[in-house]
Amino acid sequence: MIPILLLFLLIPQASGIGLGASPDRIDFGTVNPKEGAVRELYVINTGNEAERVMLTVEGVNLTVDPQEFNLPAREKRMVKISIDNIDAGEYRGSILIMARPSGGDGASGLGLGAALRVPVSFHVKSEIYRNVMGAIGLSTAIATVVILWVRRRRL
Amino acid sequence: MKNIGKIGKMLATLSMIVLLLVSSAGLSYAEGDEKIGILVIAHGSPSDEWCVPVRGAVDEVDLPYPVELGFLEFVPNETINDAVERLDDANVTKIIALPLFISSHSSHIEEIEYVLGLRDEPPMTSERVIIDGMEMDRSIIKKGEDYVIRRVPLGAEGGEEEPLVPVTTDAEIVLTDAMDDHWLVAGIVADRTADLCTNSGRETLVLVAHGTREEDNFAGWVKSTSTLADQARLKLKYWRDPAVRLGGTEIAFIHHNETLHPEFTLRPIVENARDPVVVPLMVSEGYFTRRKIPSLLENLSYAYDGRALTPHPNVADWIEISASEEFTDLTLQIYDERGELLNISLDDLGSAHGHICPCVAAAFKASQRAFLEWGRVRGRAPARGDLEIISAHPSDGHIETFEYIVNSSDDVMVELPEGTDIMNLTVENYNYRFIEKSTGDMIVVSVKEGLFPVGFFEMRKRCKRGVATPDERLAFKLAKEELKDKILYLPAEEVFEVKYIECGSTATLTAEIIPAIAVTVPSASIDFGRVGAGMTSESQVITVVNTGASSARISAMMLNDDSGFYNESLRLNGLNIGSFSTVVPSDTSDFRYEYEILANLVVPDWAGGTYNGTILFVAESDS
Repeated sequence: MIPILLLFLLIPQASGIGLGASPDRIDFGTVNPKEGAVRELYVINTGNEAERVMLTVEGVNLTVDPQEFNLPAREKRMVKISIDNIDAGEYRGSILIMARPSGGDGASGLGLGAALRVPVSFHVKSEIYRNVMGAIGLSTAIATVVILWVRRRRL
Repeated sequence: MKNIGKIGKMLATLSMIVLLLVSSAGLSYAEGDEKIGILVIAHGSPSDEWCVPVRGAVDEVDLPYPVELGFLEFVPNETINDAVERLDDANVTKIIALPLFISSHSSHIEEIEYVLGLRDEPPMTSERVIIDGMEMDRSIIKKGEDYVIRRVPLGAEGGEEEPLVPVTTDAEIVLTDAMDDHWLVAGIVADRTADLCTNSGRETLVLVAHGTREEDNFAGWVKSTSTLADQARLKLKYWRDPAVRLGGTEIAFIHHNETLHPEFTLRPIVENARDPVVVPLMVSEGYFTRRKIPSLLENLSYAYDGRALTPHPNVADWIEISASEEFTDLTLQIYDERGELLNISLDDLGSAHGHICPCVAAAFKASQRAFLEWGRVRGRAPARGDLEIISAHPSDGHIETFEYIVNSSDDVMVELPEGTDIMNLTVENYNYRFIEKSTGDMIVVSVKEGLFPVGFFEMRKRCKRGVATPDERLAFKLAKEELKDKILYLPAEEVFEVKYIECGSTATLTAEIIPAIAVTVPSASIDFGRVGAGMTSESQVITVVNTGASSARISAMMLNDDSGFYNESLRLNGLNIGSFSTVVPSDTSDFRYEYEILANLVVPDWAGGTYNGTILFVAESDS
């Protein structure tokens, strides 16, 4: 008997446009430019109506998939946030998640809406830096071996 | 293949439905076929004072069947025939008749058998009796085709007659034993004795019963009366708190052949006994308890209160448990290895073990109770091969009973509670887990602690270690028999606690996870009404709710503001859109923190007409 644990996310219900996300920030840490990195972001409709959700990346080069989708009330959707082919350096930006009624706002005058901004940060190591550091490490190791060998010969 | 699977499933479903219908039909047939009624029969008396406590005892009876009281003689309109008629009116098909008499060796029992149609002729007895203080000749005589009880006062002519008429009913009638030496009666004798004892260790219980002059029946009276006296002594010594120690016990009769059995004559017994405590063994108080016994003991020193068996709760309990012995179903059902429903009786299990001890009784009734629950939950009996029993009791009686039921030694395990072993048992050992192997679901049955008398397990330990005195061994044996009766015949809910524990292949966990960051804007739009160019609108309230798990910094941004009207004119808390920013904390109790923003329009001179746009309130973690 292997118990199967079913986890239900019961999302708090609120009237009007409601939008939630977990986590509230994404830090990829240090990223290898060749390998890239992927994180998951859950977008949750905390309102009581279906919503059209759009994700926009701000200030950084990221891939968000999917960028736009319909999300029924109290449902959640996983969005993949990935980094690839990016130059070395420190990066900070954000993902803006906007929601509006999925049937189109259609409202005249000043409409109100909800959005979330999820900060994103990561550091991409330089390939040159990596190579130099590797060469230094290797040279140090060889030098140590040579010194030890010479000392043993003298003794 | 898919279709074959579907057909198979359909057939299985149909089979289940048919099975359920058949079993429910079977049940209703069985119930319809046998509707039980309880008939309590007492002797009766011309004195209503004698009858009232008897009626009270019957009124106290709590059974799921109609209960009627009928008197053998002296009580018109409350005869056995009247009671049976009432049970007939209740459409009973089986009558369990319980003689509320002191001894099954009373000649009245044969008269009752005749009235109930269980014998062709009544006993043609003739004896001298005392009715309400008056000495009479009582005889059964035949008058034409009928029999009557004739009572003639000594020295008088004629007397009175009461017909002895067999009942007319189609119901099956079963007559049980009288009260005899039942442990519940011994309990009453013990209580009556304790109430009279003042000098523990010295007093002699003198249990005095009516008796009989018929030699054939006298031995039966002696046996049951002396057994009762001894049971009462042991109950008082070992199972009563505080204990009452008797110096000895004696039995005596009022109505016996004193020439043949002078050793049972009341007066010399009381005369020679040390600190005699005289307890009458009579169903109800009346002439014998109030006048006859005191007169026989005139000028003697003895303790006596004249209290009879009624009123006492044990009398109703005796009626209930004696009736239960007749109607309790002592079988259980389990599917065997071929899928056939198997009936296993308590007698089968007793034969397998050698005798029906309390352990066999407990294992059987616990299984029966568990299977009943199984039926309620699953709609069917359990199946051998898919049932595992874990017993907390290590006795052979338990293990052999469970192994017989599941027909396997592999599916019976013993898991002893900490600190217990075969010599050191506690109530925790009377715990049994019935596990459905395919799902892991289990039914846990345990015997209630109140069923065991205080000191039971300590006494058991002394007996098992061989250090118990003969009296202790006897007391323990009586306690075990009492325990067995309770397990088998008390209502199951009074004996067992039953828990159904679902440990099946799926377990549902439910959690309400609040998003790390969440915001809700309850209103869809805002209307500033009509505002003139160059003027400022009235303030409107926009509510923004932090519905997330952490504090949120709320800012605002405009969408679809093609003309730039709102970017230029809208003020939030007096700030323009780009400058607006506020922190809305989270409420970690109900995850809903409302924040009100005052909004108004400072309309530029150039504006005119209607403007559309959407303002987004953007939440970002503040931590």
